[in-house]
Amino acid sequence: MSQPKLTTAEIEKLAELAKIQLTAGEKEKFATQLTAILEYVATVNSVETGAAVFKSQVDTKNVFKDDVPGVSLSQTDAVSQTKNKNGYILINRVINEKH
Amino acid sequence: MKNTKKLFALTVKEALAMLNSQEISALELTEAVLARIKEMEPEIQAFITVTADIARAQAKAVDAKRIKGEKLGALAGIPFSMKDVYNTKGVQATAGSKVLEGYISPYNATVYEKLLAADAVLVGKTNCDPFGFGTSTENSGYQVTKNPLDTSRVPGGSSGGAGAAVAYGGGLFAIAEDTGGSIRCPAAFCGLAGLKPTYGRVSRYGAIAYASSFDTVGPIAKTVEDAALIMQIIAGKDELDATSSDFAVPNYQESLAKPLKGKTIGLPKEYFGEGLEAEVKEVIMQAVARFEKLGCQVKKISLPLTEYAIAAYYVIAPSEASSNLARYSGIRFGHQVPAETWKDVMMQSRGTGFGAEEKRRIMVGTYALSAGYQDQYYKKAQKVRALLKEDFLRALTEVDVILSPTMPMLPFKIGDNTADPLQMWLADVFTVTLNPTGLPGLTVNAGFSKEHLPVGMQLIAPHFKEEVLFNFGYQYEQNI
Amino acid sequence: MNYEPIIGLEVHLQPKTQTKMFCRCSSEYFGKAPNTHTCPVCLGLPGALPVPNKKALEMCIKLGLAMKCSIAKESKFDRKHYFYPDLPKGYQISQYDQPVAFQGYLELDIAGDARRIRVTRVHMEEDTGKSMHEGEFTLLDYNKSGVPLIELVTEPDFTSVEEVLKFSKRLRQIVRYLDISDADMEKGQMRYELNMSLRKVGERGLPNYKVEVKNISSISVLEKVIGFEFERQSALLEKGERPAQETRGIRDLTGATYSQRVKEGADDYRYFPEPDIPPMEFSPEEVAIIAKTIIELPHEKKNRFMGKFGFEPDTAETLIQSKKTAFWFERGLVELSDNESRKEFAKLLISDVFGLLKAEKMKLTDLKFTPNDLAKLAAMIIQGKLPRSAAKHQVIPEMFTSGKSLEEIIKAKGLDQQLDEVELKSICQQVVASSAKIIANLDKNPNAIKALIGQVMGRTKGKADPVLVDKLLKELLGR
Ligand SMILES: [Mg+2]
Ligand SMILES: [Zn+2]
Repeated sequence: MSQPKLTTAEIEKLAELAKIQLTAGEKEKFATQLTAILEYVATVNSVETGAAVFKSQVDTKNVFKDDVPGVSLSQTDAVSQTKNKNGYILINRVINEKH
Repeated sequence: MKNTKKLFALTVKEALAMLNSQEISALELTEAVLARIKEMEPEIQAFITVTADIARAQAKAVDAKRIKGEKLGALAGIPFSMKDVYNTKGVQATAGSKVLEGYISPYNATVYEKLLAADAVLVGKTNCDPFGFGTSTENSGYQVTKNPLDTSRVPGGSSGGAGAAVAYGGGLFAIAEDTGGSIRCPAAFCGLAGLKPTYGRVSRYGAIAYASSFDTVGPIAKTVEDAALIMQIIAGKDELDATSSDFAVPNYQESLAKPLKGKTIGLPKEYFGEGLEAEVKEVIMQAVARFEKLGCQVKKISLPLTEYAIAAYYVIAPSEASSNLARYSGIRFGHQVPAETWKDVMMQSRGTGFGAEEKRRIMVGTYALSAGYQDQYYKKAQKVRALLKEDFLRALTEVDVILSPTMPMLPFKIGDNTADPLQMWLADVFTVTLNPTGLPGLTVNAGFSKEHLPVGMQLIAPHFKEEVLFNFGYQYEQNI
Repeated sequence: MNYEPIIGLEVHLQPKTQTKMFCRCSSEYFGKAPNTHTCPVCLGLPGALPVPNKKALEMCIKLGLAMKCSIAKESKFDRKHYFYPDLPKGYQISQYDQPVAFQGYLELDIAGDARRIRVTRVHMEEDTGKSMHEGEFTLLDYNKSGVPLIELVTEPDFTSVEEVLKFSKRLRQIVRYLDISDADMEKGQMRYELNMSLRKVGERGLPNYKVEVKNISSISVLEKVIGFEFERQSALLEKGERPAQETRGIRDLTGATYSQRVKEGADDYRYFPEPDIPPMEFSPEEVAIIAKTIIELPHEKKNRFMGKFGFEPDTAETLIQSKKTAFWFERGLVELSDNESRKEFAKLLISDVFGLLKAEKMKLTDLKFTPNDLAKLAAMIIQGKLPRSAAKHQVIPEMFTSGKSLEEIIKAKGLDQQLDEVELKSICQQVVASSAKIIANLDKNPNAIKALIGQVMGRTKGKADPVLVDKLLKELLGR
C-alpha cells in the first residue's frame, strides 16, 4: 500500500485533534516521517485476518470493586501541583464553549 | 567464604547473605551504592532523581528493625532503583518527559508498596525514553545515558537508566517497565538479566502508562536468580489493577535447579534471518549449543506473522499511547504554558512539553484511531494481534521455550540511529512481538562479542510460566 | 404554517452509590469543599487505573430492565476522547457499541392513548469535574469527576412537549421507585440533552437537520427550551431557511438557547475499547436476580388502581406521584374490601390530608396517624357510621395534632353515639308527620327542607349525619 505524503492540512488536523501546537518546521518534518511510518504500519492490511477477533489482553471478565468508600487525597495534595486558590485549581478563563 | 567483591557489585542473593549474617549493615550497603552513584553519574547519567535521603532513612529503619529482632521483609536492606515511570510518594515522577518535569507524585505505585513492605531501599529514579518511547534512551527529555560497558554506546531502551544503573552498581536491581522490549533491550545491552512478565502478572497501578494493554512491570538484575527473588515479591493480584491476575504465584526459587534434560527449545526461523548481526547470531548459536549439552532438544519452528507483528505493534501501541497521554494537558500538573484560553494552554503546554518522539507517536496513534482510518489501522492491527497470539500459542505447544536473540544488533553507538525514527522502531523486532500477545520473556546474557559487547538471548514461555524461564535462564548462567 | 417538533432525549442519571464509578472516593460530592473528594484515579493522575463499580452497573441493568430493554450478554467500556479542562484524562470512560442495555421502550398515557417511546440504549459512564468562572480565571473542582452516570437515549419519537414532559416525569418517578437514583435536579442528579427539529404537520419522516441542546438541568427548563426552540426554528423555516445543524447551550433558566458549535460532520471521539478494564458478561442468572428487585412501576400501579378499583385517572396519578405516597396509600388499602371505601380513602387522603399537610408544611412521614387509621375512617363514612363532614372538620384535624388513636378521638368527641339508620328513620317519620305546613310549601320553597333537617338534628341532639338525614327525609317525602 503506497501512502501519499500527508499534507500540511492533514498534519494540522491531526495536531488539532491531539491538541499539540506544532512549529512550521515540525509540520514539515512530521509530514515526511508520519507518511513513512503510516506506509510501513499499513502492511497489517496484507494479512488475511478472516474472522479473527481480539477482545481483551486478559482472559478474566467482570472485574469489579465493591461500593465501599476509601481514602481520598487531601485537598492540598489534589491541587498543589499547579496554580490554585481556595482549594480550586486555577486556569485562565475558559473562553471556548464546551462541546 | 568471604566475599571480596565491592559492596555495590554484589548480587541481591549475596548481599542478603551478608546482611542477614550482619557482616554488613543496610546503611553500609546503601552508602556504598550511593557513593558509587556519586562516582559514576557524572559520566553515565542513569538517574533523573537520586533519593539519597529516602534511601538512608529506609536503610536505617531496616537496621533498627534488625537490632530489635523485628521481622524483616525478604529484600531487607537491598538498595534498588525504579524507572522514572513509577509513582513514589513525595518524589518527582517524569516518565523521562519534560511534560512532567517537576511533578511530585502524591501516591505510591503498587510495585513500590510491595518493595517497601519487603524492606528494600530506594536509591533513585532512573532515566528512560519518554513514556517508554524508544530503544536507546536517547529520546529522554533530560539526558543521554551511556552504557557503562562502553560509554560510547547506548544502554538500550527505553529503560536505559535502569540497565546502566544495575550494570555499574547504582542499586543491586532495578524495577523497569516493558511495553515493547523496554526491559529486555537494556538488560541485553548492559549484559544483565531482565524479565518481561506475563501481562497481568505484576500490578500496573502507579506505573505511568505507555500502552495499557502491553505495559508490564518487571525487574532488571545481575542474575536470573535475583530476578526470580524480586518477582516473588512483586507478582500477584492487585485490587487497584483490574487487569492483574489472581493466578497463583509459584515458588520461583524452587524451579531454578530443575534439570533441563529432555526439554525442547524452539528456534523461530523468522528470528534468525536477514537483519541479524553475524556476531550476535554466533553468540546465540553458541548458547543454543550449550543448551544441547545440558540435554535440551532443539527444534526449528516458524512464527509466520513475525513480519507483521512489529507493524501491528506500531499501530496499537501509539493508539493507546495517544489516549494515555491525553491527560498531560498542562492544567492540573506538570509543564504548563500560560496562555489566553484553556485550549491554548493545552496546545502550547503539549506542544512544548512533549518531545519529538512523544508527538510522533501521539499523532500516529491519533491517526490510527480517527474516523475513516480506524478500520484499516487500529481494528485491523487488533485482528493481526489475535492471529499473532495464536501463532505463538501454537508454537509453544511444540516446545517448552522459544529462544531468540533479544536484539538483532550489538549495543550501538550513541547518535547512530537517531536520524531515522522508523529504523529505530524496527530495532525492536524480536522484543515487541511479546507485548501484543501478553507472553513472558526473559533476557539472559548469552555471552560477549569480540569487542566484549554483551549479547542477550530471549527465552519465551507460555502465559504465567515465568518459572520455566527462570529455570532455563538459571541453568544457562550456572553452566556458562 | 403548522409545525410539529420531532424530539429525541438523552438523559443522564446519577445512580445511588456510595462511591464513584472507578475509584473509592465518595460520590456524595454535592456542596462539599472543592477537591476534597479526589484521588489519583478520578484526578487522572499518571499511572492511576480504573476499577468499575459493581453497584452502579447493577443500577444500570435495573433501569434497562425497567425500560423493557434487552441486557447485553457481552459488554465493555470504551474511551471517548475530547479535550476539556474538566475532563481529567482527556477521555471519558463510557460505552460505545456494547451498551449495558438496548432496544426498550416506555409506555406513556397521552390523552387516554398508550404511546410507546422507544429507548435506544442505556449505558454506564463517568461524570466530569466542574468548572466555574471567576473574572479572568476558571476554577476547577474535580469532586464530581468520576461520579457514575447512567445515560439513557431515546429514539426521536416525541412529537409534542407534553410527551417529553410526561416521559421525563415518568422516568424520574421510575428511578425513584426503583431506588436507582434520587433524581434530585437541584443536585444535578438528572440532566437532559435534547435533539430537536421541526416538520410540517402531516409530513412523515425525519427533517434534514437536527439541533442539539445540552446541559438542561430540570424538567421545567426542558419545557422552556422546547418552547424557545419551537419558536426559533419555526421562524427560520417560515423564512425558508433550514436551521443550522448545531449544538446549542442554555445560559440561564429562561430556556433561551445560543449556538455553541456548528457541527462539521460527526465528532471524532476516537472511541476504542478501554484496555484497563476487562470485558463484562451479564449472565441470565445475574440479570434475573436484578429483575427480582424491580417492584411494580408507577404507571403499572396507576393502571391497577384504575382497572381494579375504578379510580379516576387523575386520582390514580396523584396517588402514584411519589413512591412514598403510593406506599402509604397501599398500606391503608389492605384494610378495605370495597371500592366505595377505597375511593373514599383516596378522597380523604388527597383532598383532606394533603390540604392540611400543605398548610402545615408537613410531609407524609410527619403524620401522627397510620394509613390504617385513615382507611378505617373512610370505611366508617361509607358505612354511615360517621358523617363525612364530621370526619373532615372534627376527626382529621384532631388526628393531625393529637396523636391519639382513631377510636379515642371519635369517643372523645361523642361521635361514636351516632344513631343508626333505623332509629334515625323513625325520628324522621315523626318530624314529617308533624310538619304538614312546611311540607305543603316545599314545592315553592325547596330550601325549606333545611328546616326539617334542623328539627331532626335537634331531636337527635346532633348525633346524626345531616347528609343521611337529608337522604332519609327525601326518601320519605318521595322527592
Ligand atoms: Mg454520555
Ligand atoms: Zn477518586
